[in-house]
Amino acid sequence: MSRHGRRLRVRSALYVVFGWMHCALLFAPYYALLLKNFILQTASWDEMAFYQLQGLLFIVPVALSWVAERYLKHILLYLPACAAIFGITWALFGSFIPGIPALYVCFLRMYGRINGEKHSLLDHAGWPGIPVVLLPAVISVFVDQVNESFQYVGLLFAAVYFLVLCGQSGIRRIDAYLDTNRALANFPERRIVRLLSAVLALMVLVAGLIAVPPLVVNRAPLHIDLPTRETTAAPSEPEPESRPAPDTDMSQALEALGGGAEPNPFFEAFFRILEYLLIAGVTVGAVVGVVIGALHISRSFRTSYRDRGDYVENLQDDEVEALRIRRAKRDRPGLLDRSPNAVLRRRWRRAILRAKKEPPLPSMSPAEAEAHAGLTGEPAALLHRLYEKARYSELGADREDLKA
Amino acid sequence: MKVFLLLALVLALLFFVQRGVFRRRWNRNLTVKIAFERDYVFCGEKANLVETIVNDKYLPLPVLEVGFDMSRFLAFSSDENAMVSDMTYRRDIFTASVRQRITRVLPFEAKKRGYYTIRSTTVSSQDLLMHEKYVEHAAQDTELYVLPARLGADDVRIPFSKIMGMVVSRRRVYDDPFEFAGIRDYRRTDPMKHINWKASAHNGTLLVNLHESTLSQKVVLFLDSEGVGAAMTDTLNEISFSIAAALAERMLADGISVRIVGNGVDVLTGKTLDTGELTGHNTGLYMRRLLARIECRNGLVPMTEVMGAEKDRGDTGNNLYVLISKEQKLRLLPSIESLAGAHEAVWILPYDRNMPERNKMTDTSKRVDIVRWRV
Repeated sequence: MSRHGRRLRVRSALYVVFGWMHCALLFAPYYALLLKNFILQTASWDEMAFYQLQGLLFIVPVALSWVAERYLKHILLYLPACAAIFGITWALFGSFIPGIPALYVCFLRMYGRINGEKHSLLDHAGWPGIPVVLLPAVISVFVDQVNESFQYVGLLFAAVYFLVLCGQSGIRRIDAYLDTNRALANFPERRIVRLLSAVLALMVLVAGLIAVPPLVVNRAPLHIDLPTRETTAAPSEPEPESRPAPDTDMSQALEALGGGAEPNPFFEAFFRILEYLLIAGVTVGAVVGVVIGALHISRSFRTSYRDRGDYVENLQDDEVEALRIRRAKRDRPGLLDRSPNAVLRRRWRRAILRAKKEPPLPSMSPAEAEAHAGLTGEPAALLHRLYEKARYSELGADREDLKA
Repeated sequence: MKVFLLLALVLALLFFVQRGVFRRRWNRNLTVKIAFERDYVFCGEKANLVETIVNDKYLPLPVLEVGFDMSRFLAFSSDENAMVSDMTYRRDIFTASVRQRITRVLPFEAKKRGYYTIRSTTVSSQDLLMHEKYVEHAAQDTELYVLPARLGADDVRIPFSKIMGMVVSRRRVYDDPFEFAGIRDYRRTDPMKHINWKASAHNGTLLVNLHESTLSQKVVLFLDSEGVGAAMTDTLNEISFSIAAALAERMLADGISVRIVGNGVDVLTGKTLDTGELTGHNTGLYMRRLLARIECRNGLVPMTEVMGAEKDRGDTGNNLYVLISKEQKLRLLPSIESLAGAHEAVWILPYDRNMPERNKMTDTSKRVDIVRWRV
């Protein structure tokens, strides 16, 4: 029970922390954009990137307001707590301006508590959050005054926000399912939680491994001139002192091979997609391989156990072999077999599956399968005759049958 | 920005790939089997239903819901997962990791005699991200006979003694030459043909063989199954089945041939009850299984017609007739008297102890011994 309770608390705590991250990720780019970029006119790439990361400190007042709202029972205690949060935010950012949204968060929490709100938007990430996080990056594509670092950090933030969203959404689904079915007898809650949490963590890990590294290494900015805007210099030319040089990638390799010739944009794009697909495939394969390996090792320690009335057995290799032997190899044409027999048999199967989505049972005879699919009429009869010839006759079907 | 779009594409691709894989593979190498642990139990006894899930593949099933329905007269010990209305609708949740077999035992109590089956289950699962639900139906083939409730030896002592008294008074015992029982000293009354000459010569005194005997007497039990719905009617019917089974079993054990005829309908064959002539105590279970399959209904063929048909068959002189019926209004007495002819018969009459006197049957007969069975 204690273990059960601990697991539940870990999942809930993770959900709450994700909620705080959601708030901080929404706040950080706008803090840098409005306060540092527009008001203070900071131009340096590194400085702007730093300010965006500094914006993540907003997680502190969000977390403190959550703690205050949850544990301070009396509103008279909550009000000084809000003042303290304002002060801490001021101290963290070195400016009183970020304290204002922190106070607003405190107010929203108090308002939600008074109204008996159960699901505050402050604590739940949502799909609209991704475009909101990305908006400064998009603005930087079109507006010269906005630093290009927003593209780099903003994309990273969006990727992290996406992972937070996936994590929260997954936890919410798990909890919803558990809440609905917890009252059932023999409900294997512990195993379901373990399995679903592992799958969720794996998915988030894979998504993180695929999304974050390319975003970290790729710093090539995008810039589009709006038609109405007057430009004097090449807009996408990066300044060497304000922005790090782009990393070596496939396009550079192609350029080197071509002796300085302009690479074909189609091939460039194609190879880039191929590169990412390859990375994604290798990442997924590696993670799955590690998981299967760990599974094999863990199973050699324990072959069976009891859990809430269920007797769980991990199938051993000999049992798997026995099961495989029992499943006799089905007589079906090979993948590369293009003989008339194979073609006719595939046509017949396609016709059956097209007529009815539910496949026929393996034990059904051709006539039974056709009746199951509801195939009737002259074409069906012809197909039936040819199929039987292809499958059962000694000579088999020939090219003429194929034409028929 | 292009990188971001590309990544979004890759992640979307991954999502759809996992969904596609799950959609195609979730029910591959997945076996869901539901089976009664025993193929018969006595009414009122407890038994187990065993659910076995085998997931023999490298794709975990985070949740697997197994739903099935069965008769509400098989009552599960815990009602949390079951909804009881006309049937018991049960839903159990499993989780199966890769290459696992899960066995769950569900205890239940057999509340009513009958023949029960589970023919199909609904199996549903959700993908790894709990986004989509997949459903399929799996055929099952399991059956359970709930035999008529056992009656204690004391409960049937009186009717059994009466029947045996009648049997003994009318019996003709034949030695069975194929059933050797032992050897003893010769007495004057023993026939010469029973002398074991070889053993006599060996021993120096006359010795005779002893053989097991068989009774020529047959007992025909008429079992009335009319009526269903009212609680007391059902109770009286069920007690009638239990009496019939207990009497028949004891008579079979004593070497008497028994036949049970009735107006109840066999749920498998659709025919009315007729066990045929049963001999030997080994047929007891067969007889009880036949009785388990009999369904009580309203509007069945009246017992008068059943007994009339028996009379039309002829060969009634050798049989002892026993009627088990709760019927107080219909005039069954003349029918059984007519069937028994010059011989005696027995009518076991289960009745409700709270039944008003005015509703009770007052008819009596010299040749039919009426045994009232208070419930």
